[in-house]
Amino acid sequence: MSRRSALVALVAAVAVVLLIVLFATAPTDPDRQGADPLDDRPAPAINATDTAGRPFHIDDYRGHWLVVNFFATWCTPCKIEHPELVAFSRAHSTKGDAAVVSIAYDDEAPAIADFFKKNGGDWPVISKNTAGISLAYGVVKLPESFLVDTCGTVVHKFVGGVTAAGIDAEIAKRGGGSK
Amino acid sequence: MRPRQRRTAWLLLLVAVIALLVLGARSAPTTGYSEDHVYALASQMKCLQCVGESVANSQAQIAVQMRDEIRDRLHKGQRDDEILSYFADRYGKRVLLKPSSSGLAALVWIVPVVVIATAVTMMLLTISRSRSLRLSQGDSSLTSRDRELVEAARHEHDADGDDPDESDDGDG
Repeated sequence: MSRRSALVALVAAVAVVLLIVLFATAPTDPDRQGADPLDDRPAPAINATDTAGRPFHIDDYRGHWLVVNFFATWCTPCKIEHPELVAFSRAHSTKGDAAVVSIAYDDEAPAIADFFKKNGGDWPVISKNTAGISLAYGVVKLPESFLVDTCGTVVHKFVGGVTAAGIDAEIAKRGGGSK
Repeated sequence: MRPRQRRTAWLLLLVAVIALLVLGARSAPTTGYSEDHVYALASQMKCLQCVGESVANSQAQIAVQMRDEIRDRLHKGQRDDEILSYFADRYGKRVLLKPSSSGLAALVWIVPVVVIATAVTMMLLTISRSRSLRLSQGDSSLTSRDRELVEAARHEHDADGDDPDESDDGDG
């Protein structure tokens, strides 16, 4: 091998090694670390009418913790998490410090009414024109829930179902929900 | 073909290739609204509920909703980059199929250019070196008879060149 070829091979090898080291030591993309793009950002607006015909504005919940739950009656994990939401809602309804709102994804009002009748829960449910809300929250797979703090900021995203204890723990972590 | 013509032909070919690459890489028009425009933007986003499909090609509910949202935002006059930013803000950069051109991801764009530029430079250097080598080796193709002819011609030339001087001296 000529001296020039050896030099070229050496430069190429150094470049490849540098690239490997660079990629291996680079910080991981926050998207892949479980952090949600909405974390610590204002909750996207929800101005709609619930299934009972009452207006719902997310800003009316300032001063309260709010769980924005995306679900569908045809989604099995949503059925599994529902009792947890009922437990959370009941536990906080007397104190009045936290509330739940459910956004139905690709679902019909009669099916939703039947679902709540069978499984409990008396919080607002929004079923019409929810595609825009789902996109604004970056929902990918059901169920997904977002914990919004008393200032209207998204502080945590739950993927694949919630538990009442899990939500309370996230609230407690931020100094809320004292008993 | 003469070397100069050949060089011009290569240059023209290079210009044509670059022009085609630039034309091919051009994104969709940034203003106006059409289904092609919706499709062009949707094809720059990944369907997060699918495997290996863009928002443009998928029939998943989320992809249909995202296309509707793109349509709606284009109708409102938003720019392509604003629409892509909207989705990246909600779903993270993972939703974008086109790698970022800043930070470490910029290497994805820079490295191929550097590699191609280096390869082209080395190729040109090699061609140039082989050409000069061929020219320098040109003498080796001469036969001894050729050399004798050249020597004889040189002697003749030298002799012709000397005579006028001698005659000048003689006259003076």
